Amino acid sequence: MKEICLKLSDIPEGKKVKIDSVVCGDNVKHRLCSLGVLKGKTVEMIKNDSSGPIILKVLDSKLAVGREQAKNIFICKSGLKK
Amino acid sequence: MRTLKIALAGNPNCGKTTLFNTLTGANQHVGNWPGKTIEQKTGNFNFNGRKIELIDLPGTYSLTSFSEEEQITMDFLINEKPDITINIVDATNLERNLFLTFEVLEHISSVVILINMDKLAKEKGIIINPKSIESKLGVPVNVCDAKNKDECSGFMKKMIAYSAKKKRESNLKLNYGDELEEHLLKVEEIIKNDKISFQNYTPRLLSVKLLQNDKLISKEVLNLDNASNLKRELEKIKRHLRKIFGNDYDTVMSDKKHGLAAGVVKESLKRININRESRSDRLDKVLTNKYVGIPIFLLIIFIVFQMTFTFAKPFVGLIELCVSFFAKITSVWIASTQLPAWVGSLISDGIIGGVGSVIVFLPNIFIMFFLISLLEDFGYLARAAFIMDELMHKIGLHGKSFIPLILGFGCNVPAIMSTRSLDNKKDKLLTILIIPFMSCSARLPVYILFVGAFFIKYQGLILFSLYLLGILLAISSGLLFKKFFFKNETSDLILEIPPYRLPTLSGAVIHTWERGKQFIYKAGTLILSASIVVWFFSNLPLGVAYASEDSLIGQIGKFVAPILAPLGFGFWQAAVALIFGVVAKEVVVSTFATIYGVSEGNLTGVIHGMFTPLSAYAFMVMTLIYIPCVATITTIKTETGSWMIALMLAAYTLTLGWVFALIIYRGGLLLGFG
Repeated sequence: MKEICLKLSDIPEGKKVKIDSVVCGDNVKHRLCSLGVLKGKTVEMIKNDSSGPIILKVLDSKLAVGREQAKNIFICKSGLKK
Repeated sequence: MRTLKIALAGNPNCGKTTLFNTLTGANQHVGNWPGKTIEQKTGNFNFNGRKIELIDLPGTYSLTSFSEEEQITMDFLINEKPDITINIVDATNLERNLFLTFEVLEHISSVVILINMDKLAKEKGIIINPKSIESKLGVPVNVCDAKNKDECSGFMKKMIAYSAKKKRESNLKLNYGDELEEHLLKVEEIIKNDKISFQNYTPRLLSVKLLQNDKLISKEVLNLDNASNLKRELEKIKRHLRKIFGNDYDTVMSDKKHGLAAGVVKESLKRININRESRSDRLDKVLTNKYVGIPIFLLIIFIVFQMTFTFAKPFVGLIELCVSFFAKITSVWIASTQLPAWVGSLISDGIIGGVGSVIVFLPNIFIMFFLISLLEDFGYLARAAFIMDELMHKIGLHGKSFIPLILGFGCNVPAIMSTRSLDNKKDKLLTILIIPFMSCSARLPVYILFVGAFFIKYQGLILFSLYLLGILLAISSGLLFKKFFFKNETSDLILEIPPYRLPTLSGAVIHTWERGKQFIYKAGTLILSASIVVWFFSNLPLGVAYASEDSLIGQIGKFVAPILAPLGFGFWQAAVALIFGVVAKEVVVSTFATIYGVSEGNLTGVIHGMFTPLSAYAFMVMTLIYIPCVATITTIKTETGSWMIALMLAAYTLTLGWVFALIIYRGGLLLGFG
């Protein structure tokens, strides 16, 4: 059975999710990785208006991520928690 | 005894600079890292008779060569070998900070951990056990408030004692698990056997870097003559790792370090009442709100400008008094000597008139930098970048480019340099092209002079309108450039939003002084020279009446003036002021002062006779837009590597300035504002 995956940009505010994959170039990948956004890590959506950047809670810090980039971070069904 | 070299490493916003300021006070030197545009801060001081050199490394989240800051930090730690490296750790964000700690420990020995903001963490219900961290990491861990002088000196005492007794030991060797360790060992062996060496990296560290695909190190090491064997083997290993770990194989080792950090946190940190919404969160609900965020941003900037005027006023008056007093005693002194009359005129009209007319704006500049630095330390600028991201996206940039634009309010030159922190070339170029529309502090004297002369009642509002016009022009020019030069290229924001913090007075004062000093330096060099040149041009050819129409300067002005006539200021003095203003925009004011041989106070009276409120506004708009100053043009050339781009931009801004001044003047006349 194929797993259903969501984009991070579609996650509503207040929800905690586990990241499944980050699709981007080396520079961005390493930057996100050093900030704690990488495969297997849990992040919480703090702010997600229908447009503009999102704000994530990663560990104890807040991180603003542009919407286009957030569309390239994927969460699959098993990573969707309350 | 030998000077003790101590480096400060840590995440951005962890209190690194605060500790640096507390320890060094006024004994700091600010420069650039060799060949880089990133600021290097060093402090030399004596502590209990011991000479200490303190180096503030750039704030980083990890140690790779993917950004310039990290490169500098890594290079310094590996090659300069500080006696002690203090790794400052933010107690309110322990886990993320410990990731860097593991990176640092992997690179070097003689590391001491300083836990900052422990009190703040306790208020948030985060209780940290430093002894437990110490036993996990095997290096000294201290809790110390970076703002507190006594605590910091206590910490320094411990450090010095530590440096005396501790011998250098090898750096931390992390275990990455059987699968990776096998390959790391293999790479390490090849490095040893083929005698490959790179800077001061140990074979082990080098193999870690190579398997992490570290951009610069891979490139340089694999280009070495004896690396062909290594290159082949590395390709094989990478293919293998990709099969096991997928495309993210190069972050597996980072993941391991995140895991170690999480492990330390689990054992050494306790949380009580974690569900309370913090003040920071509540404030963010308002300041980053989709609808009110931008209006609040505009309001804050407006208040900054209003305060720039109000608070500076008494100081400006004081400096005016000093300048005119100084001018008087100089002229009395010259009259008493045998010096020819022209020397007196050069000194009082040229130098004191010219430089004095600019130096009176020092209080405004200090206050503006002070307020912007408070906003920055408070954490507001990161929010500004967030709320502007969507708008910036429309012109193909992201919110992070907004920070160089805000810095452009101070001075376009460092703003253009700061674009190096942007992740890609297109972002950088586009941001550079629109920075000159930000009203720098050099344009402020021109605005203040004219606003003070014509718009006393609405000074904050008029000033605000000019800054706003600059922002709007930056955005619309950005749109234009995007449409023609950068089609379909987008890039994205990744920015930490730090918690709000009460700014410290000393931090803001030090920052303001650094910037203010540059303005004073400029007044003493560039503006002084320009004033002298204007004075000579005003007196040539010999025998001509000072600064008359027949003088060299009058003739240049008369040649250009007809072009400015449709804009409402077609007299030669305005033309000359604008021409010399290309040297530095303050020179617009000092040129008026030198030509009329008056200092700032009387200047208001003179320009009242020449401008109407409408033409004064058109003139300010012209000053805002037309040609960036020489320093900005040359910086654009250095940063983009192209004279063509720099000169095209000069031509574009000149045309745009003329058109806007025309629209404002003619439009104003039609509407009956004449």
